[in-house]
Amino acid sequence: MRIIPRLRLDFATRRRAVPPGYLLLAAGAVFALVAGLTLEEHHATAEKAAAEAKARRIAAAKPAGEVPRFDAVDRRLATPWGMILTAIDQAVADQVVLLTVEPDAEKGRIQIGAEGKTAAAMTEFVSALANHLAFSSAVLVSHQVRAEDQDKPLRFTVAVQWRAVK
Amino acid sequence: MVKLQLKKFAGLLWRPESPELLISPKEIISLSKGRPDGLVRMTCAAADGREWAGAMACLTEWCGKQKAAKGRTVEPVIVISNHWVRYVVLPADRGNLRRTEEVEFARAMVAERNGPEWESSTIRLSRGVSDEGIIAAAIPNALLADISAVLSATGLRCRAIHPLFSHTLDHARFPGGGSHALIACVEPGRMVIGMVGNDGWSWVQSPLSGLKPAVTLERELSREQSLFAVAGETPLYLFEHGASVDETIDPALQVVIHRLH
Repeated sequence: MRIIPRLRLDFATRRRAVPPGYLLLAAGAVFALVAGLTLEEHHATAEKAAAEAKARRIAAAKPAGEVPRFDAVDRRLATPWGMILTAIDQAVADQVVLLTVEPDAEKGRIQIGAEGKTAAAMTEFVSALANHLAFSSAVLVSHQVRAEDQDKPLRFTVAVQWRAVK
Repeated sequence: MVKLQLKKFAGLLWRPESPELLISPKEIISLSKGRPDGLVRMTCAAADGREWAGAMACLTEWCGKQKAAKGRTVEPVIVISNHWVRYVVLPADRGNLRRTEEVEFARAMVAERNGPEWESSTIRLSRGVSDEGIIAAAIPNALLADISAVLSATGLRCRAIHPLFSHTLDHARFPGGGSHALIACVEPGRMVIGMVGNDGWSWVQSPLSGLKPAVTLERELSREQSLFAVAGETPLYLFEHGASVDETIDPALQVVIHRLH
């Protein structure tokens, strides 16, 4: 037997007052939570101190030098620019115009600024990026309707994470 | 002493009376469950201004009477007629929209389908087990503001504001099985009809209906069934609020009507 899903659509903005009995219950729950967190924090501090001591020992054994800088250069050289630019190009539909592409090689991320004629074109573009094999995720960071433009296009920003090439 | 403490304990868990109050263009109906005099109907006279001006005058009168009789111990659940609510089903493939972006997306869909005046509306989204088949409901901001103004003026507050369609569904007991079902909520002059399946809602419409709601039902069913065809007979759960579907439905549409309350 299928169950009709409940909709639970409530348009009231002001929540009803909670009876005092439930407030007491909630206060008790909060107290228990705080006590638990304090204990956990205590354990975490002890573990952190041990980890720091271990890290200091490892650092003392490692020769000081250029390793971090070489890592950064290596990451930039390893970035699959050809694949990324092709993937973005494939995702751009008729109703979307690319405005900016700002890569961040350190984090493996690209910030794409674009303008879409409709909300549907925008979501289609984001969806195409998200589904592309080159990227592990694509998230719509912001969007805004350009009211001054007669066609009311949407200017939006998408954050894309590319997949590491192995 | 014991009596006093029991009274105090009861006071801690006390909840005010919450009658259901249906607000529609021509009348408001108040239902207090478990009371012999629980059902009250008030006819709303036409008034100048917005289309719900008459209903707001009725609401003011009802709130005044409640306040005088019970003080602040009443918190109605306000139920809004199908006339002033519109629905859309959000597409399953919406990208990675955040909750606020989904709301804006839904508002744009409602306005595109029902006209630009719906751009100024409040949106609520249903939540299912997945992102598929989610319903968005819209109520004009002006109506919600007018209800809020009436309640403030009379010193009452409401427990909830529900659209009639969702309120009816949430409180109904559905007898049938199967993978799909049609649900229709009929009022004088307008109905809401939709199809729900295992993946959530397929479609929802809120058309105007004339003197013969069956005609509107048939029209909507035949149009939507061409898009969302379901093999075999489909149960149609019918809720009639002041309007009845007395005529028979075309057998070619393969629906089996179950009247619910």
